[in-house]
Amino acid sequence: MNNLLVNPEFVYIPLGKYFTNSDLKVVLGSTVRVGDLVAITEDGEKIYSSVSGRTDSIVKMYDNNNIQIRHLKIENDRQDTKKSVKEINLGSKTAIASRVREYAIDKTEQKQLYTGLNLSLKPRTVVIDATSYNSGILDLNTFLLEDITSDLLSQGVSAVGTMYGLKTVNVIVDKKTNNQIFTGKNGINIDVTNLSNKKNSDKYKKIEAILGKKLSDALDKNEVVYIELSAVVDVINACVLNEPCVHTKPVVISGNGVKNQVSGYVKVGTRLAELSEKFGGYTEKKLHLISGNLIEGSLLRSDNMAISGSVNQLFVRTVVDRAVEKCSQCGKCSDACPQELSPQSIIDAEIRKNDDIIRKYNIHDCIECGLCSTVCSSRINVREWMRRAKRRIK
Amino acid sequence: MEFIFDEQPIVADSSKVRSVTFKVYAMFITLLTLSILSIVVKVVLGSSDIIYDSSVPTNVLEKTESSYYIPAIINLVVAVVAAVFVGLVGNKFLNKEYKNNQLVEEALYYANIGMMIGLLAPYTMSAFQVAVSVIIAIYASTIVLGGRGNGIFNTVATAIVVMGVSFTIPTLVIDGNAVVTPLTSLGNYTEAMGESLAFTIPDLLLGNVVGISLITSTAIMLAIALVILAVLKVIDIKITLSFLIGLFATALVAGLITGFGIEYALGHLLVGYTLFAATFLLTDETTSPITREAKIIYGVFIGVMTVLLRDLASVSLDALIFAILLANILTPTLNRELVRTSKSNTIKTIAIMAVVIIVAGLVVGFTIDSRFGGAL
Repeated sequence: MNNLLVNPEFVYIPLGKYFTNSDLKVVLGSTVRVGDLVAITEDGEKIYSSVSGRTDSIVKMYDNNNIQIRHLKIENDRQDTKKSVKEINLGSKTAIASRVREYAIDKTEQKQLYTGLNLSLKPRTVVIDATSYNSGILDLNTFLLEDITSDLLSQGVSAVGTMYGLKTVNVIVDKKTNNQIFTGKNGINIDVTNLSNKKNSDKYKKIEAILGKKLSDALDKNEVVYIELSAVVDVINACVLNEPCVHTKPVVISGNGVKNQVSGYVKVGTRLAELSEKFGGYTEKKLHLISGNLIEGSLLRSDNMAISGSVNQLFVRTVVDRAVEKCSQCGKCSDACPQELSPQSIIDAEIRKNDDIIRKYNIHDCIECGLCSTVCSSRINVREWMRRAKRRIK
Repeated sequence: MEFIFDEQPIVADSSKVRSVTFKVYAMFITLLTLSILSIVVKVVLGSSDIIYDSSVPTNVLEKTESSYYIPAIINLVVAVVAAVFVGLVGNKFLNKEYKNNQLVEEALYYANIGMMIGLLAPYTMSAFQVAVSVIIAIYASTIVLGGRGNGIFNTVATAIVVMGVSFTIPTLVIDGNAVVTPLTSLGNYTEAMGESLAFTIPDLLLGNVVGISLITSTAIMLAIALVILAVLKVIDIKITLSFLIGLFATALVAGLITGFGIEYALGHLLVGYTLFAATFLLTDETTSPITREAKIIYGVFIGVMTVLLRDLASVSLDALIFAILLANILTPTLNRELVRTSKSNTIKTIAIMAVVIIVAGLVVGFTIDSRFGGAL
């Protein structure tokens, strides 16, 4: 990963997510270190400082969900003074668990069928999916060379096993990865399984083979802890390296709107504009900035947006300066729709603002998957029209 | 730097789809090739096996065997020029704005329409008549309703109907003899006993016949164009296939009852405008329905109606055109009523259509049979 770390003059730490409020735990004007607690949200989520320096003020900014929330502005002294974190005994189950709880690694949002490092589970098996990292496909050998040594990785995996009181931890890697990079520590065996391809179903079959029984849809009821590699990396930072809590975040900046496609660690609270040197600036004057992917991401107002812990990917694309074409009524959208809707008819009704017809066409079944936009031969953004119709007749 | 925020773009950024632009260009190239090839076929093959109808009295000797198709070429050029002219002037009145290459695209779109009309216009039409038909059709079925992408009736079909109802279409006379085209021959076949077909299937395939217009022969050429456009995903194969299957199956059922056999069904498939319409007219996206079953119903309806009208009604031009216009009337209703599509619904639709085809085939068969007093 390219190193995206820059030392901006100010960082803006978002105080909460969506519409939750938070209690500030520092006095404005005081000095903080990297990893110092600055606020606690209503939900109990802890927010830490990512730089050392003086807390300046509270400003209102748009976050990555396009909601105006309070941000704590910290003046960076560029010293990177870290809060000292006590070393813990990696053989102790309770010590690791309490550190994981303190750093809120168990509260990380989970996608797909991952259970996360859920401390309330009592699993028979822990399976770590090391085929991808930070939503990207991972070649573990390259990754190891650049970021984390195989020794650290083994310690992290072992720590997860120790935390759940198990003797063996299972790791799934892709077929290119060398199995020897994992060696068990502190009396933990690491059992490495190579995957023949990257399909998810294949992973579940492996888990079923390890468990010796069929999986139900909810993995947390299967006595299995199934986690991504990023959870292990969090454990390594928290328990092995004793780094302060979340202060950097891996992000990917891509799209045809930026000159260089880059990825790497960024200090939490850095504004996207500060990274312009790293990605080489923008290619055009008019752009769309999207946080997340094209299908489910949200459109942002400006690059004056602080990268928070929940930003994985920023997508910048050029605005298509093409005249709106007439729908040629080919019916491809209808063919593509998984919900069996007739998007063309709905658009037609939306243009004429005919609510009754929109309701008749079951607009609320639309899952906004965007397939209609993708297949449209007139290049009409069908999904956006569907969204408008849906919102209007709510 | 400006970040566009207010709303998601109405224009999508997908580049991997067959765009409308691509379709227009592909259609243009195909039609141009077809025009040139059909003229070449006429020049090279000549028409050695022209069948004349001696019962039709003629006193004109204007056309000869080697030059009867020359006026049709002039008509083709006139139709293209008239179509582009009306289309672009119409867009001017509609205040349409062009960006990038849209002017070229728009001109090509109307050129396509003009070329189709020119290829379908009977040999005996004058250039003036063709121009008038083109202007009326494009104005009435497209421009008045808001330009390209709007309208209920297929522009090309409208133009042919305007020709048919506004002007008398004289029989083609070559060297003083009235020509029997395959289509009229097929009509006569069901009209009276003892008539023989004025064509053989290989002749139809190769274009060794004199049809109504430039494009109504050389079925192989049209079939190749159909396959190419289908593979390039320029045309929707659902409508085309359901139409061809509907037409062939109906004619086959009728053929089996009357004893005309498979030659009769193949004749229906190869004569007149059938293959050209299957490729270019039915697949017109604006006037055809949207959903899967609606497309199947639309195609089968045209196929069945074509056989019914060709055999049971006496229509001066190919009855297929009227079948298309009838189906165009159904399109808005089909779009409105068939809201959802699912696999089981599609299978149900196909089953119902199969029944419709068989019933229609039986009706046609027994009607022809009774016409001959059950002698067949």
